[in-house]
Amino acid sequence: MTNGEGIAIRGLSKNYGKTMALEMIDLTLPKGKIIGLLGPNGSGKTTLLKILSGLLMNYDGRVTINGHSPDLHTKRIVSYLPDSPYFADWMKIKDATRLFKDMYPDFRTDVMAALLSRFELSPKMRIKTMSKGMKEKFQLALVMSRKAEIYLLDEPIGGVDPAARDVILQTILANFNPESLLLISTHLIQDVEKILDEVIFIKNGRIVLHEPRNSVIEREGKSIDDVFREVFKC
Amino acid sequence: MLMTFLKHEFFSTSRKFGILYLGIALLTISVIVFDDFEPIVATFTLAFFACFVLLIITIISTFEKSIFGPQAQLDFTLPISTHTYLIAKILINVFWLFCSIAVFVACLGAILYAQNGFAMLGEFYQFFVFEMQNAGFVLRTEHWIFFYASWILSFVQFLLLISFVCSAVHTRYFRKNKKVMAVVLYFVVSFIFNAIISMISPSGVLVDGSYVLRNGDLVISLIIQLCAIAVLYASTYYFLNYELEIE
Repeated sequence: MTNGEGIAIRGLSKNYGKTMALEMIDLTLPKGKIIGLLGPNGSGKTTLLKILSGLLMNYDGRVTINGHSPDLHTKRIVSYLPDSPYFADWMKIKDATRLFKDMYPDFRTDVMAALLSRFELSPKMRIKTMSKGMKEKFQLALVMSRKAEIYLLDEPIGGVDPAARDVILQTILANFNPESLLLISTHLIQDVEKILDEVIFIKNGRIVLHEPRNSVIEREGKSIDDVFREVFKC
Repeated sequence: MLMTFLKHEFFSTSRKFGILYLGIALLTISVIVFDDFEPIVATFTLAFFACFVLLIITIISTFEKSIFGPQAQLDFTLPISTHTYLIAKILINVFWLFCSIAVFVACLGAILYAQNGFAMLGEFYQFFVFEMQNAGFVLRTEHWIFFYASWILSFVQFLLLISFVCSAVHTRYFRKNKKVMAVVLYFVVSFIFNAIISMISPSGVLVDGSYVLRNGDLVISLIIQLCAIAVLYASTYYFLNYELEIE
């Protein structure tokens, strides 16, 4: 990683009262890669992504995105997909699209139109009438329509059926800018492992593994999903 | 970016206020159509309080959803500064306050006009002036300016207090029962602020058995209000910028 490009995390800890959500995390995530943040529920994935996206401002340690702590500058270059719907119910798809177009200079209207068409969503659809899967597709379309430098996707396939998961993953791959960094958090390893360059295993707020996907597969002689099941077995 | 965010805030809130104003307009039309003067005062007193209460509820709900709800994840990841966020929230709510007053006055004027033409409007204005004088207001031009300025500043102070409370309970200092804590904190901070303001504000001079504020006293009162606003704004800015925890 050169000139502070990408994400650098040093000694990051975050607690919620007596509960340690993240403990002394050190990570260097360069651009040009798709990195999987893999861990069971409650392992600290969402907390880490929220710190990177600027939603959690109080933490110990140092976090930089392209050399900046999470702030206004990083919000301009980070495209964040939360793990739950975050648009008001009264909005239509076209309202949310207009908001993103107004707010982000890197928003690509043509890409958004193509993605909506692929997901069979109409701009006139109101969010409150959409199913959970439709909302996830719509939000993913918005986030991937930006030509951002950093993409943070929190459980993008958590609430959709297996067939839709493939479509979503193809969409992520097709719209991934090779010069950007994509950090995808999930516990559905089998579905995402084929698109990953690097994997990070996070357990109880600690990083237990951070390696290129291929080297893990070569060393262990099994898929990432199998390694994950072994590491996280109860 | 302020204008862009203001536009978004306007569209977010306009539906609620549109419905509210439509309701008041329908009430006005029904009062005019039924042509019965007796219930006018009662109806409009009711409508005024309904309008006021709905305005307050809508303002609180706007802040509450923006920080407590899933929408917070949208608002706080948009590329806008904390100043832009706070100023937009204040401006849009002051805008709706003025709109609410305009709608109320227009509807009241329409009813009075329908009752007895322009004469009724004149009579009502005289009644209003009389009531204001009874309340201790000396109706000199500069006093009216102070009165309106103080009134707007009080509203901004209220908005900032709501914003302060909502942001304060989303920090590490409040882990549990955030909504209950927000209500408690609102009343505690409100009480402390009012106590301090009433202690240091000038009480005026005694004229004919009642206290009358001089221009200098009014200026000092406005400065105290501005200081309270500055303290609330700075505290809210600090919480949003350095301590925020959107879970």
